[in-house]
Amino acid sequence: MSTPTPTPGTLAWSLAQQAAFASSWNSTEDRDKGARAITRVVAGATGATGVGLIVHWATGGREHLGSLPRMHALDALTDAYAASPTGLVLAPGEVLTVRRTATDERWPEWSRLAHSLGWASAEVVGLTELRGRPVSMQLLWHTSRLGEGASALAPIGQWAGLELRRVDRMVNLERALHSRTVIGRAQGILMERHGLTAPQAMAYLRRSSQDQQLRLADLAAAMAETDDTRPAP
Amino acid sequence: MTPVGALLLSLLEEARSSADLPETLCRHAARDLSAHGVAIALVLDEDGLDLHVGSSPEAAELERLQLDLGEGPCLEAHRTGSVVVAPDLWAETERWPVYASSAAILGIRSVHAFPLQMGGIRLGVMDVYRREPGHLGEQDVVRAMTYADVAVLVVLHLHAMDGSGPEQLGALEEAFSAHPEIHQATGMVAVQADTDLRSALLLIRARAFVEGRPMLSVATDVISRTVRFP
Repeated sequence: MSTPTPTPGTLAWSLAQQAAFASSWNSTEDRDKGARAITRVVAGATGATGVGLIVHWATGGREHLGSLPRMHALDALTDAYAASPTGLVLAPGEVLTVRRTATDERWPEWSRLAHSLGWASAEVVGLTELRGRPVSMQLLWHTSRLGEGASALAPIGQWAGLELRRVDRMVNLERALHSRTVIGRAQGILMERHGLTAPQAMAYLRRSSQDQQLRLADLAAAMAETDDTRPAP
Repeated sequence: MTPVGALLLSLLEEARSSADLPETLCRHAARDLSAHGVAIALVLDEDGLDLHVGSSPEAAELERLQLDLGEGPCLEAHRTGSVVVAPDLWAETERWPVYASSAAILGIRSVHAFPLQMGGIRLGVMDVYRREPGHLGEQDVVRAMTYADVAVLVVLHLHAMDGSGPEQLGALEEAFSAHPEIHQATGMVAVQADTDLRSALLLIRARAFVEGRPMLSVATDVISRTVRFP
């Protein structure tokens, strides 16, 4: 007996697609995983074999999100050297093109590494900001992109930027919901151990988090995990 | 305008305030789908079950029942990320032994549960409760999925109002009936019974079940120190 395959376009089909998509993604709490869903779509839409998102921090640091396989060496080099197209802050819609990684002279170290990893050309697109931080997306190709119009990347860049915002918001809310449960439980542990009221326990948690310079939720999680609620001497 | 946009706009016209949006959405959906009730629960995992809202007190009660019992189509939809349909609760007494019969006593015959998700991240579930058995029609299912999409936007909007901080959920707690007492009581019971938090939650759940009252009522008694475990 075989399971009948739903006809594409019908409701049964879209439900099956939705279920398949959901089950292919078990661990959802990670922003990087969410970002990888975006970079995979971009790879599929553009033919690029390496796609990654870069969030630029005000301090000059960077966060790489959703990088596809074999990009880690390149990402690490970006963080180690200032001179790479991925290290630059781009305005939304702005595009940098490295037509030949074998011969590029603007970012020789980065380009040569990309070349040695099998990527013949690269483009970096500025995306919309994420919580006030500039974001760019790198795309790497096995073939040279001579003659390709950079403008073709603008719409997909726009889509990726907005999608990253959504993923970020979802993950943020997911964390907030989790923190809420954890903080409530830590409160309860303190209430029972020290005979405190709920507001007193919260005040204690807040003070400890300030003293130990920990986020309230992290402190509460550590407390709930270890159940070590005795006050410090 | 897209269906999601049109729906969002009509909710904004009807809602008295942002905090009123989730409940307005449930009422709107119940009317639109000719359902007895519609409710939304924000679910993270099987431990964080208290934020919910319904189109009526009865719908909210049906939702609370699932969260309290820890079983039902809502939790299954959340776990699997797929739409869960129970066309006849009378026939589901093996799948959800307590929930199916409790809901039936409250006059509910069928449930459709739609996960609230975006890009594979799940935030909860929207449940459609009906007094008659059977499946929703295709049009209604598409309509319900649109409501679920709008619900995600509404929840994100309410969270953004709090500055998207990891520890602030003020607007969401106002919009969904929030009861941190359950989490506080879980922490207290873990210490009292010298057990882990997961087991503590189960202890509270079991007592609520045996005494036939909501978990919140047991939790409140734990906090006021009129009930102790064991």
